[in-house]
Amino acid sequence: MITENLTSETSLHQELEVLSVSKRLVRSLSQKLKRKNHEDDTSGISLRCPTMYTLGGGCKVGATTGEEFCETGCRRRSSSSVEEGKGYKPICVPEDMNVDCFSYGVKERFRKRSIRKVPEAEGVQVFLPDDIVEMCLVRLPLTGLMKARLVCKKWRLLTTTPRFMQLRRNGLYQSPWMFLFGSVKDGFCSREIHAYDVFFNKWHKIDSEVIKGRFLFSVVSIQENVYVVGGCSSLNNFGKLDRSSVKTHKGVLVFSPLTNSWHKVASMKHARSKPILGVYEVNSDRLTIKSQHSRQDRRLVRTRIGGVSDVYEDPHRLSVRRQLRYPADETEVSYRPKNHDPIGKDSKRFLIMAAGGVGSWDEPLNSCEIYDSLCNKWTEIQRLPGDFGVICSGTFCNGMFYGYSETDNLVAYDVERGYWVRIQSITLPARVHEYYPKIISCENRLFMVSVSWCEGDGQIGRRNKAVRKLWELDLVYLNWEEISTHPDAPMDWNATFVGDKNMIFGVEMFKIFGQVLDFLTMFDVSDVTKNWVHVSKNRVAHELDVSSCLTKSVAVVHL
Amino acid sequence: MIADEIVLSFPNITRVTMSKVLEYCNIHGAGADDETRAFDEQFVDVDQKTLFDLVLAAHDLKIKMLYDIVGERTGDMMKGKTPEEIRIIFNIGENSCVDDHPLQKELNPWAFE
Repeated sequence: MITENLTSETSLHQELEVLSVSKRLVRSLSQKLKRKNHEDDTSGISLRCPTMYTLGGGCKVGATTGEEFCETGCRRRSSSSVEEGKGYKPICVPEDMNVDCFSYGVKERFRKRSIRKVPEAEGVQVFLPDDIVEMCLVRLPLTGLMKARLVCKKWRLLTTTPRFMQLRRNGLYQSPWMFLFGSVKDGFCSREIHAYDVFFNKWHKIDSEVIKGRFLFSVVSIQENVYVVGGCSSLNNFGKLDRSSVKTHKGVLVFSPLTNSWHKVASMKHARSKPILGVYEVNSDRLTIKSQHSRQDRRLVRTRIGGVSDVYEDPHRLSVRRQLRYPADETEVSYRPKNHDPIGKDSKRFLIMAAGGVGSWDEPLNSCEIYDSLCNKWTEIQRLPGDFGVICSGTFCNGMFYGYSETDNLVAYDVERGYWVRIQSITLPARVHEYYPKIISCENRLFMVSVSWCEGDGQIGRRNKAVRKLWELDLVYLNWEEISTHPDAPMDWNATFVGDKNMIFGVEMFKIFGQVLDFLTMFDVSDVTKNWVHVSKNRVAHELDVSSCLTKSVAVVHL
Repeated sequence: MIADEIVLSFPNITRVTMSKVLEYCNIHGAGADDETRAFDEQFVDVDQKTLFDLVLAAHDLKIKMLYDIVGERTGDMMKGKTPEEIRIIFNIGENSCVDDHPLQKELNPWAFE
């Protein structure tokens, strides 16, 4: 049987006992924490205060003896509980007894004099312990969490610990956010990153000075960060989208939306713009990346598409110094776990593949490199096969990186074994030439979005119309199966599709009737009965230049 | 005198709160189903004061399920409110927990749009 003793007289005695015991202790504490007094004069004594939380956690309460007066210092809020008498009664203590109630530096002083009306009935005399506050905040969606961080210092510190973030991840309180990069405004590579909160269907803008002027980079998301890889920036007109004279980057920048901060990681070996990226989360510590340096392949016939003459190649290719730098033999790069983990101890090991892209002399590249987060290093791997063509899309699926070329070849890189294999799949229907297919991976399944001609109703004379279709590759039998048809006419030949868990996000941007429009669609691969869903239309692009259609890139992050 | 009943005392929990907690436990004793879900929704639809009392009671008594739902509801209370409003609700003094972090406002400007 539980005895409820708060409202009986015995409770009063007990409370007074508690008060006297801690009297001495608290007196010294309250002296240390004497605060400036507030003007308002308030109110009753909450019954909660004296007995509560004296044994750690939550608010520590103390009482001074009758001799010490608290000058005036009362907060403007009173305890509504006293008024309503909801199970509380004021302590019948001598009038000059003051109860100091402080929680983490907040000092409350109550005096039994007057009871003041609560403004708007909002002030509540409750002091929640840290772990309760944490428990409530961990559930908040990102926007709520951001606001919570601004409430007070304690909340900010509580919600920015790695442990807190891990709790959010484990409890699945995160929701997907889609980040749209590469927007161009008035000829300038905008500093704005557009973030779309899928759950609340709301767009936000993030201002980032760091990527100003950079364009044609590729992005990929890893845990709660977005990696910005490569890209170009204009040499003559800084900040502008000017492709006449550009510097191509090797650098990799990491964007953390949660803290709106950027940091750099190791740069690639080759400068690339629009490299094809893929991310692979590695569970095994034993996986090593098989490196293979460019020197070895020089003897092989290179794929040259685009007719770039050898005369204008990188003059440093034949330099002796370079030869000496890269050993001839195929070496295995083993990692040494570093003491300093730039990412954090909760993070897992992941690899980023950067394949192809466009090089410093505007030449299409067939070199590839892999980044290992464990040692923060890029390693060059075997080049794409000679007859493959120019890679236009790729993604990791089941430990293999699949690459698709402009000439409709499919290859896969086995990371463990360290070589490319050709995949002979049963061919798709003829696709519309200008539209390069995009391959996406979701839940270890491989998909492709491709634009093909579709018979127009079978009527004679009716023109074929182009449709965008979603296909899935059966990884065992290697045949493509049609899954779904996209509802929108394929106006954007550079539509971006990204896979995240079981969803495929599609972003299309194009100019029509003098306006730039944007469409965001989503498809759930786990539910075959569903179709593409329009989640957002024309909310972002109206102020952007049409060149944003070309430069846009998208990453989905769970925050 | 030999006591044949065990007496537990919870000085932190009022009678009203305790009776609510007991009600919750009785309903959920049989396991979760639609009825309990409906009960839960109605159960947490209380004023702030009672809610906070329940949060603290659940915390002290270590009743996980109750703790979860009242915690969630408390989190819900914060949704859509400005930091100032949140400070008022949770009774955080403006002068006390002032954050002197210099980049406070600049840190996450995009959360407010």
